[in-house]
Amino acid sequence: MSEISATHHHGSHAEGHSHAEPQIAARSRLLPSAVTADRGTLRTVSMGMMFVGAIVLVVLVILGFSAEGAGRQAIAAYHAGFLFCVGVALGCLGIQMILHQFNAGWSAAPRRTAEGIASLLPLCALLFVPVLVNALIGSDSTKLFKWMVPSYVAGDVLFEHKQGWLNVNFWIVRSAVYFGLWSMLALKLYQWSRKQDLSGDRWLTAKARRMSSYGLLIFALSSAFASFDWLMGLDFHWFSTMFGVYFFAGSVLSAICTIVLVLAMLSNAGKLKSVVTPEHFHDMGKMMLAFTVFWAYIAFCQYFLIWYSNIPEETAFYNLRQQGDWRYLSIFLVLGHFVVPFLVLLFRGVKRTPRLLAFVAAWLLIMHAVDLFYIVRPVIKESKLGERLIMDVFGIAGPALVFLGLAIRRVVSAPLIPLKDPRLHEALEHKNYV
Amino acid sequence: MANKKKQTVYRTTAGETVYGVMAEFATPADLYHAAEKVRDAGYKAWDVYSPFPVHGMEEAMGLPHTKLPLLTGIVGLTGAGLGLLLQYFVTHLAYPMVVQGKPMFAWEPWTPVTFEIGVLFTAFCALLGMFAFNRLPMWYHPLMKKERFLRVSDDRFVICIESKDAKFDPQATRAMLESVGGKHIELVEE
Repeated sequence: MSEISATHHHGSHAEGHSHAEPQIAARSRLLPSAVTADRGTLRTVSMGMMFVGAIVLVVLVILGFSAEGAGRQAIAAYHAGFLFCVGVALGCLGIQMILHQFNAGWSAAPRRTAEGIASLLPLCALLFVPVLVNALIGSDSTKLFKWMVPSYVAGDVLFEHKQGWLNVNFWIVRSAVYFGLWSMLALKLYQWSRKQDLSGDRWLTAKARRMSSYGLLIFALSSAFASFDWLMGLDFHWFSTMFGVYFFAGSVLSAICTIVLVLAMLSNAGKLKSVVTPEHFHDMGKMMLAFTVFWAYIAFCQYFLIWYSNIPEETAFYNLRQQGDWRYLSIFLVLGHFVVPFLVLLFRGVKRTPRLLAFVAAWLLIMHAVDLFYIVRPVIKESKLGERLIMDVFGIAGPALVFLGLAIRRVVSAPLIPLKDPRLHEALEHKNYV
Repeated sequence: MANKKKQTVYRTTAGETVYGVMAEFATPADLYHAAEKVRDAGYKAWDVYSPFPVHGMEEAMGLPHTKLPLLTGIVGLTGAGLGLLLQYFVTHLAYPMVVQGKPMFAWEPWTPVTFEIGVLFTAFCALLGMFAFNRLPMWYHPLMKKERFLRVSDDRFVICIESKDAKFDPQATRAMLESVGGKHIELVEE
């Protein structure tokens, strides 16, 4: 017994030594030039993206009013774009809370990017305004959610049963609650992390970790219900209990891809040298692979159960998407969202080369947008796939460009890593050893 | 394989075949730096022994990256293919039967089984392949006869250079191990 405790003591002593050394070595890498971005160039890039995004949105509005029936398609495409932005920000919130819960040392290096993007969630509420306006003052023919059209749902037995949940006032309250909860969590985490940059208070990390415990529960429930309200509700007859997980899988995947893209862009600009290394890209690449598989797993499970039980009100969702040209989009999604990235991401070299990984990340982001498009757009039965395609592209690209521009702006406006995170030295020394 | 030189068999005065020369180290750091020097000296047939994994040791030893992932990938995909064939055989050739009014050529019910058999093959290949590449199980090892070697399961670290190495020479190898900081250098018999 005494021998055991003696060895233990020796062990902890040795650990104290090995901690101090890398910490000194680490500080020399954290020169201000390496951990802060050159605001000029990246700000110009972000301003350019937001400007183009704004123009695209203006054109979309003009197109939406230009033709009979185009309004509903415009708002549907915009809705997919809005959910793309919310998904990325929400995924960033979820992933950082998961990393806090695991006390993941390696994540201290890439975490600031996630914190910055998640802190845009209050601004995503502004992106929701057009959808809200459509729900409140849109004419019956342009309303995106059919259950909001009284003449359409009159006498619908299924609707009568769901009326307690599906009424506009409650829907608005719920949407406000989601944004309120997400903003609270994201802003707290971001502010604590920024505060730690100055004070170096280690207890802020403990606080963030404690909040992440119940924060994850709030996140899981609110994101699932948001996906029910904003996506599943598009066809109010249809329901899938797995839909929340499906939205979560796609969101977290797109969040990791955005983080990889931003970090690869920064490292391409000569930033974060020896701070965010191929080891970190390797880990984020593994998470991209894992969530690609997870998305496919959930997508298949959802399809499989509905296919097997063969109940008309459930199969309607896939029936619609297996007819006409939507069928080709379904197959494209299986190949582009799963098969190709899965096979590519299996290779170690891809995950450890930031430029290659950024390329895969950009591809997966596009596929995530296509996935949302595939859920939202077929609901507009009056317009087939390919009809007024420019509106579909603009509807998604507009909010996405504005959002990604904002994301870059937010990331470069702060130190690129949590400077005084107690786990930072561990992150800097991180290696995969495989 | 790469041994172009004719293999020399060394014998002790008692007539026993020499397996190699072992040297002991007190800390993982000593072991790590010694391994780097042994690697740089050009030895190929040697190994390090420690009570726990020393991170980065494969780099210090100059070991190539394992081929196991490639093998596992190939075997996993083969397994998935076999799973598909199995179901094709059962539901099309051996017992064609309509179940629940589903189409005969439906891919949906085949997917879980294909996936699971793929996972099964992958898992077994990863485990058994790891054993094979490490030449496990190993029922006998010459080092086990050494009294001092047994402390490797507790608090000592050992490098053993084997006599089958092309560069092995009883005197020169011993001197090299001494120069890199090895203590209690001993000859190991087969």
